[in-house]
Amino acid sequence: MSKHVLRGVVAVLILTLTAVGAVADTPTQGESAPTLFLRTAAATSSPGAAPPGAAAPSWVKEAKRGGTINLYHDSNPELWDPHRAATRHSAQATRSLYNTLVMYSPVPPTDQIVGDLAKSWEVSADGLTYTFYLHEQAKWWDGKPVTADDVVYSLNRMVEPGQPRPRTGALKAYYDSSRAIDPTTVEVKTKFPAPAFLSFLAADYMVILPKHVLEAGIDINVPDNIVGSGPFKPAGFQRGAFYAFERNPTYWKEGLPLLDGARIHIITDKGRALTALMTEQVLGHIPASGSGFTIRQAEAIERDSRGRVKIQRILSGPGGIFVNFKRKPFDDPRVRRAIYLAIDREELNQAIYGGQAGPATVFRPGSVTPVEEVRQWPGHRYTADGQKDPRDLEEAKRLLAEAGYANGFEAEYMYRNIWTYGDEAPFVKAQLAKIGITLTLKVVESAAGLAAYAAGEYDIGRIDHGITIDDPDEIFTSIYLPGGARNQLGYEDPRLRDLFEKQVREPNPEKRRALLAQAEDIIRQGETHWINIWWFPQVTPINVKVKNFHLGPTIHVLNTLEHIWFDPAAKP
Amino acid sequence: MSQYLIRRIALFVPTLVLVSLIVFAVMRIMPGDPALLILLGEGEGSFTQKELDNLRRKLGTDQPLLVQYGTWVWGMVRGDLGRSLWDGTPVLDQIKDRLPVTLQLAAMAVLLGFVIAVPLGVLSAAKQDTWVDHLSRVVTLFGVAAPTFWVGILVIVVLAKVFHWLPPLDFARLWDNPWKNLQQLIFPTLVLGYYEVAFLARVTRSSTLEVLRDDYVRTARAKGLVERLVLFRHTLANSILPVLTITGWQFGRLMGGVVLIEAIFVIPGTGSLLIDSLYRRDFPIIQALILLAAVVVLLSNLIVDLLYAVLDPRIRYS
Repeated sequence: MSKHVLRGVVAVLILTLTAVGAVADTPTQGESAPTLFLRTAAATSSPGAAPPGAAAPSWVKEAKRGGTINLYHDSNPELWDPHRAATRHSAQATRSLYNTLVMYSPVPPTDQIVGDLAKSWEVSADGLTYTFYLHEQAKWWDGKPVTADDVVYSLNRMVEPGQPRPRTGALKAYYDSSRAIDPTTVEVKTKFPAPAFLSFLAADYMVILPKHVLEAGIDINVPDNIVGSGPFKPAGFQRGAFYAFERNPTYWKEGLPLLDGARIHIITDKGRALTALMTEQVLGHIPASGSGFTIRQAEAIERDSRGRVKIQRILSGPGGIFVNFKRKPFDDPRVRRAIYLAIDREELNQAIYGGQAGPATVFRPGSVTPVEEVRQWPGHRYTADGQKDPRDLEEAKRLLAEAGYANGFEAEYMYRNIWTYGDEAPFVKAQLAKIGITLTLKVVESAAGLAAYAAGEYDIGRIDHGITIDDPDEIFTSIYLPGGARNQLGYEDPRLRDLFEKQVREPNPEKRRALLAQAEDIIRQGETHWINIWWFPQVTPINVKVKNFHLGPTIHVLNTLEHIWFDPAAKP
Repeated sequence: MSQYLIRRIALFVPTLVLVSLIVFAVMRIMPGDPALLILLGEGEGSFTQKELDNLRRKLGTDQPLLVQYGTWVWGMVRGDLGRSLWDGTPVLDQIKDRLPVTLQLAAMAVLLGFVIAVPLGVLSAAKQDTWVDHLSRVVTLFGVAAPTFWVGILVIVVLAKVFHWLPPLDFARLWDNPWKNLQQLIFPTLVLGYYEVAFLARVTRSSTLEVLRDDYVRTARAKGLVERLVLFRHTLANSILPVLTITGWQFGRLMGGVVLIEAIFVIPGTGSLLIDSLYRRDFPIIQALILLAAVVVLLSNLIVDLLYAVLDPRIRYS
């Protein structure tokens, strides 16, 4: 039976990759493109809607218009300059004020890339040159047209050397230069043919800013100074209380936005957020996810609201335990592998997420290695009665003994006082105790924890990594290559570097997948600094009165409100 | 009196200098670099060492500590509290927005506490060991023991579950929309006020009991004064002084202690600003808010001391 399932999975995967290969190899122009790293067969199907452009897509005609909705967010937007922003709090606040060149499809399949300011684009045969054709109607709120000069200026600003660009800086690896061919045509050159380039351009941080405003020295970090091109304008901001949007009456996309406005309340207390949701004081957590509710809490909200509040969920990224490989005994790869083998991922998943976290794969579950196959990997395998395979624990003990720690050792497990880290810690402690590692649990305030991790002042740490875009490049650059946000101590394996350099340039998805499988084979030996424990789920509660709301593939994309509408009469 | 006032206000200076030194030092000792946090976000942002250095330079956090402290103090002397390290907005503007909200909430809670606690405490003392006293003690003991944030959550849940109503989320200032302002602040006031009532009532009770045993009270009763006059004219005037001291102290405490209540009831006061700034290590805001809390404590204590003289003719300041 399992062989049949496996064959089925492989067949679907081959079909998927074949289809993707066809898409990737042939089109050099279009109005939409699937992301080159696809995780399901469905993603290769044609998009459910035309790309949002000047001509209204079909779903716009079906939508109701008007109304101002109340939503909530769990934190203040720290910065209003999207290129300087590092968090989803800022991205969510600014995304509806501006446009990107390309974006993720607001209707399923949401991992499809469609145009935003670009009505279409072409890619040269060598994959090095992108030519974007902009909507002629696009204009800034002050009436000036959005031009190719704005795009060139913004792209250069996103990668400006020496300036804080915590998210847009990801483009540096790919972006070479750009130039305006005419007022509505931009040519962008990449350093190499990069399958992930469009995906990065579609992230919410990569918005196009008005050159004339910035060159006039106006600080766009002040909400009142913002001149955007987006569907909404700022209509008030009080730190710690709310920020509000009102529709841009001269928005250049026909029929959009659908709402008159939105008011986003800052509610930091989860209990207060819950009661506000239940009494319809707010209709949801502003797209996208990161509401802070656990799966169980979210399910309780759905149940108690009798279907008025629905939960949308995604696998947000890999979660891991990371070790300080510059300290003894973690400098020994055998010790790192022993920990990798000893972690009981299923127990953690059941205890924290009721089994709803994704398997602890390197890349998105199912995208490179079939999930069934992952369950046979050492460290991930279980006996028929659901117990952790004893071979893994035996091997872990043998490795520790070989490394000179037959009697185990003591270490500090440092975690921040947020998310689920505190709930997990006792499980990790008990699991590692089985191979003789005695952990002292140390809880620290969040900012202090991040500082300690950056400075290497820890033995073992713990963090979930919410990916910016859904592409293996992000996993490599954030976790497995030196300088990444999850690799601040600079762990490097030349084999992984080599595979990264090859796959990042590989336009053929099938060949790219083979390279990624090789990388996965190296990483799953458990000898790197990062020990995957799962792909963690995140949930967003949303009232049924809010229509056309779909989570994007990550929490850092598709946070615009332009496609959402309000149906006050909607019932569960 | 005016000399006393000048002397007391002059004494504020060394106290505030000491507070400024402590808060400045604690902020710098505490782990967490604002430049690093700006670049890291929630831990996912990436940056180079050069970008980090540039940002530290821009924020001024790369300067020697003495220079940073001097710049801050010199700014304050000139009425400039600095700018947020994150969004560059003037700290004074942020505090001006928030301070009236917290002041109003704290004043309402203390007033509510005082108005209810004093008669309750006197009554409890006058009816010592009767059912009135027992009931009062149970209610006040619970109020002191129950954490304020827990009572706050309980109130929110009851309002939502039972009454299907919650205080409005959009905050309205008292002078803009008094009715909406009242709807928003009445429940946090009751929650905070409950603790104040409980605490002050217990202080009033024990203070009153002590005075009730004094000779002059026995004399007043012996000469045939009615109990009401004995209690409210002779006893209360003397037992109120420690209650006043505590009230002044409580007001200062509330200025920094409403953090959780502001979060639960979504009130944009200085408490939520402080906690948000602490998470972000926004030093100028944190330093200004703590210094402000110290000023409020000093001022409230001064006002209490001045009230002593009004209430007790034996006290004279010179």
